[in-house]
Amino acid sequence: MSSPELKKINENLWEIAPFGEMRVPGRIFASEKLIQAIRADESLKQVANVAQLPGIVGYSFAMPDIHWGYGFPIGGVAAFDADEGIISPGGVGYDINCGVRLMRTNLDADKITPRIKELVAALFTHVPSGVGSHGAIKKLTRRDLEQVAVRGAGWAVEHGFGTDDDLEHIEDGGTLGGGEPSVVSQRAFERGADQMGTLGSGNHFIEIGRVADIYDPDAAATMGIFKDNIVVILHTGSRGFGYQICDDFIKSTLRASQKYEIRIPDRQLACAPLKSPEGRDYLAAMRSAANFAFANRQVISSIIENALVKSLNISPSELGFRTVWDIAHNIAKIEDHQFQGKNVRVCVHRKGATRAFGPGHPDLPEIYRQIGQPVLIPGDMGTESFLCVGTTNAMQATFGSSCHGAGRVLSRHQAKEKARSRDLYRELAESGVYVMANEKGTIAEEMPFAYKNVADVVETMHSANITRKVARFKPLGVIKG
Amino acid sequence: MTESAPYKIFPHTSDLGVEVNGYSLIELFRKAGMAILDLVTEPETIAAHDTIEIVVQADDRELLFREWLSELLYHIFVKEYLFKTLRIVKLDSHSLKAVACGEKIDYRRHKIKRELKSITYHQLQVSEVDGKWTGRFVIDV
Repeated sequence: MSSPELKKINENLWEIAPFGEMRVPGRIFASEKLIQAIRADESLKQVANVAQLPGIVGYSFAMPDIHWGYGFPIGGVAAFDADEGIISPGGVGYDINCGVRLMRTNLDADKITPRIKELVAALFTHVPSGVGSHGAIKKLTRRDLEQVAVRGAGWAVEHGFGTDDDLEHIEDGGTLGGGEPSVVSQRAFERGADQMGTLGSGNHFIEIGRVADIYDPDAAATMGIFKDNIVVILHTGSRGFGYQICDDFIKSTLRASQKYEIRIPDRQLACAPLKSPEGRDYLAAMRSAANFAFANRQVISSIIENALVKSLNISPSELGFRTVWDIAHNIAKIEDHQFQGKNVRVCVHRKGATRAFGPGHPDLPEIYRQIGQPVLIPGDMGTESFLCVGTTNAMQATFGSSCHGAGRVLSRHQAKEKARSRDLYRELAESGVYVMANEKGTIAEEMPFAYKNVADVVETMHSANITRKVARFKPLGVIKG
Repeated sequence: MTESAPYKIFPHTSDLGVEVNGYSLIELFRKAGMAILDLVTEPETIAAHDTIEIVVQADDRELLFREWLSELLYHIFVKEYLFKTLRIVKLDSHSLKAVACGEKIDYRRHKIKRELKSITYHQLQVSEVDGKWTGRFVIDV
């Protein structure tokens, strides 16, 4: 299938002019180098498909880590008018509020590196990961889960996992308002009951890394990030609770698409008008799952802190473990923006994309209001991850959104084929990364060769003045689900 | 009639594309179910201890195909039940009744290779050409 035609706007921006049923153009942020990989799969066609949905405002965006997803591309951003537009469960994805949390410590990387195996093993023991992993905490009752759905990370703090200080360093304070358990199915409760505090499988991970470079010392210091210290990055989401909610609501919005006569080019783009009962119910259920994910990352980060204190036999104040920021990269949010000189209220879908609000935004906590919102962009497990901040330009250019990672280039199957008969653990060890995983297959799927170069992705957004680089982290130890 | 190959993986950048062929719709549905099992575990380690009945309904044949596979994921990952055999008892365009025979997951004996999050609607296909049925689906992993 041929890709839609691209017009180069500048060094880092490409456009798909509207054709067929497209209501707005598509805009793709990518360097000349990255656009080659993007053209190779079907993601550009998916950018064009999203542009067909009712109420889309401005553009159907793609970030440089875009790759072929189902329905919406991964790395896609689309804002729909809050009055006239739609909401789409497929535009958020199955792992609702899959996201990343960055924690800083006082630890000196040179002292920790010789003990990395021991620390990775400790985290591997304490944080349940992989398929069939059960909660690190007791199985939650329906009533517990209902509270999680409404209170998010706040529920976790009330139950002894972390502190109020963590909540101030999470997008939306760790609680997305409007979570409503009454619209969540029994099956979702069933799937989530035993999964609080679990990492899951696939590309989810915990990474212990060294602060390798600082690009913006002031912004880094504001976030407590200093060269050669240890940081911890956590990547997970809403587990089975979110998967089931997405599945349930694709079914209901498929019917809604017919009912409201919305033409969808792919069933996975099933959607409902935001103001319809079906749209409102999905929004409430999605927010419930987002809150589960915020709680899950809160519980896991508290387990990580305890495991590090115990393994290193130091006090919590010596460890200095603190949440820097926690972001969602699979989410839909109602936000107020200025677009082409007009105030608009929109439902911004970010699927494999990160909110990147610029300095001065009222939704940012006081501490980050001067520097802009932290944006966490993990790479693959063998190379590097980046900490950036959102810019004022991002607010105008992308509804305050940026990329979320490296972006796959090889399918999981192709990656496994390429990994056949190679000693992946040794290869990673030679590049200075000690990895523990439940399944060797997961390692193969997530090897650096399966991904684009994250530095190219980050550089594109830096050059396009959407996010600014603050620091670079080099992984030392990784736990994969 | 001998069965065609169990299943094929087709490339999809982020997820897992699966293609199954069969000489009848019943064979197609059954083999797609067994493909799910093979992607999750090692089928030869499962004993046929308990029998469960699975009933699903949907608006059309493709949606029924997805619903069936989705129901199997529910039994595997939520009810922690692995099946050794699947028998389709009744199948039309809107409903399916099947009997699965297997056992509860025992993490000491059963290897779980991967978690399958969901069967997506993307590129979902059930079609027939000259008596040969093809089913394609993409799994979010």
